[in-house]
Amino acid sequence: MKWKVLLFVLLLVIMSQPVTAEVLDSEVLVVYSNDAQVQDIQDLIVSCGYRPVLVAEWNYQSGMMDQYAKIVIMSERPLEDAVHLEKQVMVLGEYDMSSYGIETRNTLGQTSAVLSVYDLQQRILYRENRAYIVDTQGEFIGRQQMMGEEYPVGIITDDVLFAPYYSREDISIFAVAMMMNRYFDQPDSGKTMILIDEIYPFSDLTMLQQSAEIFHDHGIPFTLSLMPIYDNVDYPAFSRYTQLLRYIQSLGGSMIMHQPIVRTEEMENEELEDKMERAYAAYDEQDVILYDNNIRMFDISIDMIQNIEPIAYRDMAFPIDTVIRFPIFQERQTLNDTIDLINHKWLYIADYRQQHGKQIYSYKEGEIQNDFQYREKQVGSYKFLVDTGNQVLSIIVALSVLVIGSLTVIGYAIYRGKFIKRER
Amino acid sequence: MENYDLIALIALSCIWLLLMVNQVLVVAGYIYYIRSTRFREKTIQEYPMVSIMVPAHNESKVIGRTVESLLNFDYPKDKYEIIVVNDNSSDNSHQILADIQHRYPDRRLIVLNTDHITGGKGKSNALNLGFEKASGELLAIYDADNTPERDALRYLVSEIVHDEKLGAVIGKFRTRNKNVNLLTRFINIETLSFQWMAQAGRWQMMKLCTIPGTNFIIRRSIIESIGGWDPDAIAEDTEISFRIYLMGYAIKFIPHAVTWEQEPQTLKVWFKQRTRWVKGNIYVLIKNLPLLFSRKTHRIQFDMLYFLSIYFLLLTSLVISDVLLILNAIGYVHVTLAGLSILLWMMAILLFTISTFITLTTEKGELTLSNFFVTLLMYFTYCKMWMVVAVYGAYQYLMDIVFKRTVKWYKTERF
Repeated sequence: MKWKVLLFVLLLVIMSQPVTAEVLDSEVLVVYSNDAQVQDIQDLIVSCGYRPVLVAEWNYQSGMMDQYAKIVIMSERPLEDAVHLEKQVMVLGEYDMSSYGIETRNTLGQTSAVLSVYDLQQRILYRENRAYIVDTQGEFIGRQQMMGEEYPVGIITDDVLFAPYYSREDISIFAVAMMMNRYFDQPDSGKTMILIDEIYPFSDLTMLQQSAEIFHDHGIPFTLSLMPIYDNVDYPAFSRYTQLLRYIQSLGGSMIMHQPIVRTEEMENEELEDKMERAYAAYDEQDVILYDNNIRMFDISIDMIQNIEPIAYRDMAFPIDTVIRFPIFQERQTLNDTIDLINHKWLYIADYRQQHGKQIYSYKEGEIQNDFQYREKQVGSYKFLVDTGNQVLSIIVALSVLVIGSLTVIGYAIYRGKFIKRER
Repeated sequence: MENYDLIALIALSCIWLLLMVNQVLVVAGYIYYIRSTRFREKTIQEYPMVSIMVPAHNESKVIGRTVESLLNFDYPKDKYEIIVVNDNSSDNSHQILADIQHRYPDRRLIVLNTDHITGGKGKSNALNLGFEKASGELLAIYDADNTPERDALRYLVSEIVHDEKLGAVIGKFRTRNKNVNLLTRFINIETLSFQWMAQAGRWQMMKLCTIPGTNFIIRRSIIESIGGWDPDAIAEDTEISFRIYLMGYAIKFIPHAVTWEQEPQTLKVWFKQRTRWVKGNIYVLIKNLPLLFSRKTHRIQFDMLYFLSIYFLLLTSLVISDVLLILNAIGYVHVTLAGLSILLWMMAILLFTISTFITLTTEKGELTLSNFFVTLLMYFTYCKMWMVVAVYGAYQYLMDIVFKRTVKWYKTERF
């Protein structure tokens, strides 16, 4: 009897312990209200090596945030719960942050500002009213000079990392990136890569070659993102394509495999893994070296780079890994302008191969079979007879046409004499 | 696979062979046309008596006009008679004919009205009935829908009286209703090209023609010697042509003797008429098949071969090649015959078009651009229709044989 009582009490003690959910470390909960804005933040989180878990504010339920170590709030709804959390959260957007002791004000009308973030500077114009942080204690991330004063772009306190405004079109996004570096305990350093995207065998290979040669001549590393090719890899077109790729390799270009783009019906007969295996094998057989595609860099546009300047006279760099993505250049002028911009901005471009075990490659031109039989020629039966017949008949028919044609001319003359002239 | 290829090869070879034969005939026919432009009518010293026979069955729409035309020949009125065999007609043909007789009391217009007992057994039988009443030493036959030109009879007679070797002389028939619709335009071109190619060409080369069933003249003695027209032959014209050949006579084509006739204006009527022709010609060909192997008849062997090749070889080959083409396209058979040149095929179409078109230069008002395009269109349409007619006609003939059906003479519907 006693042991039963002891067991019962033991069970009670166990059951009375608070149950804590497993906290997910590599995932970041993002509660958002705006689909357009969440994409930018999602990309930033991925480039930091974390996996965003997106929850729209209308699906948000209290208690969700308990399961995540890292939380990004882009909605008013969970703020009330966030205040009571015993962990640091990131809040992005124009919300009332008084609970966190952060005061914000709004600009009035169009306001020009000079942003300084990391080693970058940019002059921008706020066309609408914008919230900005005033008079708050904490670590300032980035600065903006406007209306004769200087204010932080973002702020970090023990409880919150907050930025009321950010845009992918200007360097305020890098302030958010720096805040994320702090949040995820990562350093403010990033590499920039140039990526020429979506290369097919039937892309403009002439322009591709020119692009590679010009990048090489200017000492600018570059990477090509090759589309997976599953079929018809024995065609001369594929051989010519891979020959060019090998040449580009010898110029220092690195290559990665693009993510596959397949239709559902294409996978009916074959698994995607098998298709990709074939694609890799096809390139491998042609000595095209493919590096691992683990690009988790943040996309920036060449247009954005055009509008920013380095603060000091040194190479332009960003606080996170960035990639400048181009389609195959259509015109030489566009290519030249891009090179000029990169050089003018002292933009330091990293070599993708450095991170993945650089391989030295020397190019050797191979022979391409140009008389390839795309379709097996069906041997016709009685070929000799038919061919001979064709030739003979062609001559006979041609002669017949000539003879009858001549008779027609004679006939027309007779017709005219007989029927037309007589009438006159 | 090999068998289909061989069949396809044979079919194509036959088609090309016959196309070439026809081209030779076209050239020969045109040479004859050029010669005929210098035609000089032979003077008739003594006009022979001619019996013109017109078999008619329910022809009230056209018979009056036909008889008026016959009465209008520029041939001595006392030297020809008109015998209309009004064969088992249920319309008012007899009344129309009686009226004409009344209006021309001094003309030799004989009307034989038969019923289902005495007549109603087809054109051949009607001609035999008319022949019994005929008094002329020459017999001229006209269909009930014909309107011959005034000088037609005189031309026919002038030729036959000046050449004893001629058993018959045929004139040319034109399409009176050629502009009614596309079908009649096709028929117009067909009749012209047939006459100038098949008739004139064969005459120029072999001194052979085939009686077209109307607008022709024949010696009475020939009819007497062969015992009249074969009542079982629905293509009595082809049948009598062979008999004339066998007797050692020739049949001459005189394009200056012209008659105008009404052709079918609807597809249904056209199909029935052409099927009858096919059936009839198959009957004649099979009946006279032994002649193909007789040494005595080497002159007509070409004609027999020509008709056999047209009705059996060419049309069969066309049908086979088209069927193989379709079956190959749908994957039912696999023909791997090495391809004929597309250029060659196009040249063949051009050849067909111009060799048909050349015959149009022989007639006033036919040498037009629209006729050129109609001729081109014929290759893809009218010729294919003929293939269907040939197949159906052969089928009907076989059914008649197998089921011992009575050969029925179908009268072409008039408009």
